[in-house]
Order: sequence, then structure tokens, then C-alpha cells
Amino acid sequence: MSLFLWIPLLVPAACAAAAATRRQARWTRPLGLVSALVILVTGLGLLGSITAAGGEASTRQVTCSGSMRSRHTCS
Amino acid sequence: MTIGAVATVALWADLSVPAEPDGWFTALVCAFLAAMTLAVLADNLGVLWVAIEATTITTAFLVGYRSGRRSLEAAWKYVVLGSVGVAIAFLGIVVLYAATRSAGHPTLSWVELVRLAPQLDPAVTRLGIALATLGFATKAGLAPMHSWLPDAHSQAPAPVSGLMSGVLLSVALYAVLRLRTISGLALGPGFMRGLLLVLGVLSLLVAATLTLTQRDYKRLLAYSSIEHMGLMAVGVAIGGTLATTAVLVHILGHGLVKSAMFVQSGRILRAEGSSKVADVVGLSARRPDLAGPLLLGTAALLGFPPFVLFFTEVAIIIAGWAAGLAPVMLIVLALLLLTFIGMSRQVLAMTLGPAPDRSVDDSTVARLPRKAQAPVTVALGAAVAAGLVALPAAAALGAAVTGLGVTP
Repeated sequence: MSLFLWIPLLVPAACAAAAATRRQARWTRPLGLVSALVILVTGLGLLGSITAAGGEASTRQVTCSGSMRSRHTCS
Repeated sequence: MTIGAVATVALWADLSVPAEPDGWFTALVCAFLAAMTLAVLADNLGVLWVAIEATTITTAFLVGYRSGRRSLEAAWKYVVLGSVGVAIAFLGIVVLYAATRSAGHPTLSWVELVRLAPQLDPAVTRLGIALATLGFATKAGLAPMHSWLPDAHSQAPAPVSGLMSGVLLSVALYAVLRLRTISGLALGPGFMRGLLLVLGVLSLLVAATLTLTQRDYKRLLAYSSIEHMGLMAVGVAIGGTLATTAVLVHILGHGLVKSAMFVQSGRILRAEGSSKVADVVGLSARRPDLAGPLLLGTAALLGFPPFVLFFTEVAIIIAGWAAGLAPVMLIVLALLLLTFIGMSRQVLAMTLGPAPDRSVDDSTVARLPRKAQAPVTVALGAAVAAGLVALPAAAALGAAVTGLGVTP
């Protein structure tokens, strides 16, 4: 499940870096749309995972499997 | 998901117009998307603040991208007011951290803050929550800290306006929604309800009065954003499962429709060369390809069925009524009616008004190809579908609301 949290962060960041370093390349133009689609698909995946697991416990699970967890939260 | 859906509409529409590749623009848009995603995924108030500050930096460059005098002025205004807002929010977060420290468990984790909330010092928590809410409300475009919004949204390139109105404001409101949960557990529902009702109703009042007198259609859309954020703030103030679910769906519906409308307004601006309502009258006779989506999108924004915003607005009003806020709901309804009158008057003048005498023969102007119309059509279709699937998706929405720990 943590993939659904990391992918929508890393893909747009990588696209931003690619577009900034290859500013005149034609292939950089659709990178914004690619990032948006990745965020949409992973968002749907995350919503599906939460629904399948059901309610509060699963939301906590998502939070605890995420990248920004605190050391107090998920021990 | 909402960030992805709204960004897809705005950026797909931008791609459908032939243009030279512009690496800086793409890089800034991608960085903006990454920052917004980080803000909603972070389980930490500090990380959320950093992400929202990052959205201010990226969008400041995007607002001033045209480098004209007015766009640079709008960018500076946005930077100054946005920075003041996030600075106030930072102060609130520091005070909130101090409250958790005095409770013997220093943390900024959302989950830990919810767990610790009943043990927090009420006076310190009240100060921290109030400052953080006012700071994030500035980024959400709520009155009286809204003055950056019409300038920034009207001067930014159309896809950026769509992204800012459709998701940036909602990301800031999401922070307020989470603060409300902590406030409800630490201070009871009254404090945050009062604060958000004042901000929400004031935003609706500002939007209603300025929509009635507005003569620029891009600024009209910006005031419509203030109206919708005000309504959503009222929904967050009401709390409870129904109102919060309605707010979450409203965020999606408003984002889809508003991004489509900003895309459409950008096309009208490119075709007509003016953003003044008086300069683009009679569009339905001259350019039905531009007038049709504009009329449909306006109907969606004004809450006509079967668009999803109709169902969410009704749900927020019903939830408010059930929560014993009938007088406030009557005021909200009256202000929504005023905005309805102001906005429909301007858009009807643009679309159905008499066509002016023009030197250019509009019948020779190239119509938009179907491919270019697809993003707007898909967005408006999705706004209808979202209303129809809201009931079957109630389980997922309920899980999301439960995850936010919403209290009445």
C-alpha cells in the first residue's frame, strides 16, 4: 500500500527534474499530464485499498505505512 | 485522486493546443503537483506546512509567467499575502507543538495529535488552532483574506488558474478540516464551528456582492471560487458525517467544473482578445463551440441538477438545518441566490446577448476541433457522474470521513 503513497510523490518530482534539465525537448511537454494521470490512478488505487480493508483501521494502516509516519504513531 | 482528476482536465486541455515545449512551465507544474500531493499524504502538520509553502513558491512563478505588468503585480500580491498566511499558520503550528510538549508528548503527527487532543491545554490549543486556521484560510481564499485570489486566478495561464482554483484552495481547506478534528476533541465543537461559520458566511457575502458588480469573466470565476470555498467552510463548520462527506464530494465536483471553466475562459480570451464581459457578448450566435460548454459549466457551478454540486449543496444545507443552524442556513441560501443572480446575468449576457457589429466575419473563424473540446466535455460529464455514483460510493466516502476522525 505504501507504493500508492510514494509513486504520486516521486513521479511528479522526477518529471519536474526532467523538464527542468531538458527544457527544449518536445517529450517534456506531456510530462505534466503524465504526472496528473499517475496521481489519479494511484489515488483510485488508494481509495480502493481503503474501501476493501474498510474504515478507520485501514486509514490508520495507510498512515502508518506511509513515508511521513512519526515514531510515536505506528509503534 | 481529486488532485489527479482536476490536473488531468487542466493539463489535457493545455496539451490539446499546439505550442512549443516550455521546460520551465512543465517543471513548475509538476513540482506544484508533487507539493500538493505531499500536503494531503503527510501524517505530520509540519510536513503539510512545508508542502503548502512549496505550492506558494511554485505557483508564484506560474502566476507571473506571462511577465506582463498585471501578472507580475498579481504574483507579488499573491506572494505577499500567501506568505503572511503561511507565516501565521506556522506560528499556530508552533503554539500547537508547545501544547503537546506541555502535555508530555511533543509531536506534530496528525494521528498522535488526535490521540493527545483531550489532554492538551485548552487555552494554548485554542490560540494555536485559531492562528493555524486563519493562516490556512488565507491560502484557501476565505474572506477577509481573499484579496490575492481574483488577481492571481485572472492573471495566471488558464491551466494554472484551473489547478489553483480546483485543488490548491481545497488542499488548504483540507488542512482546516483536519484542524477541526483536533479542535473538536480538545475544545468541543463550538469554537471551530463559530470561527468557520464566520469565515464561510463572510466569504459568501463577499462573493455575492462582488459577483453582482463584476465585469471581467475570469475574475467572475475567481469570485465563484470564493463562494464555493465559503460554502465548503460552512460544511466543515457543521461537521458530522453528512456535511463532511458532502464537502469531500464538493471538492471533487468543484475542482472538475472549475478547471473546465478556466480552460474554457482561456479559449474565449484567446478567440476574443478580451476578458471583459461587454466585449464578448452574443457568443452563442457567433461561436457556439465556446458558448455551449460555458453555459453548461455555469449551470454546474450554480448548482443545477444533475451536476454533483446540486446534491452536495443540498446535503450541506440539510446537515446544517439538522444541526440546529437554520438561521445561518437561511442566510447561506440568500447569499447563494445573490451569487446565482450575479453570475447567471453576466454569463447570459456573454452567451445569449445580442451579437455586436464586428469588422471580423465570425463564420470564417476556425471552430475548435473535437479533440480540443474533449477535456471540458469529460470534466462536465464526470461532474454529472460523480453525483450519480455518490450513493454507491458511500462506503468509500464514509471510510474517508471516518479516517479524518470527524466529530459533530
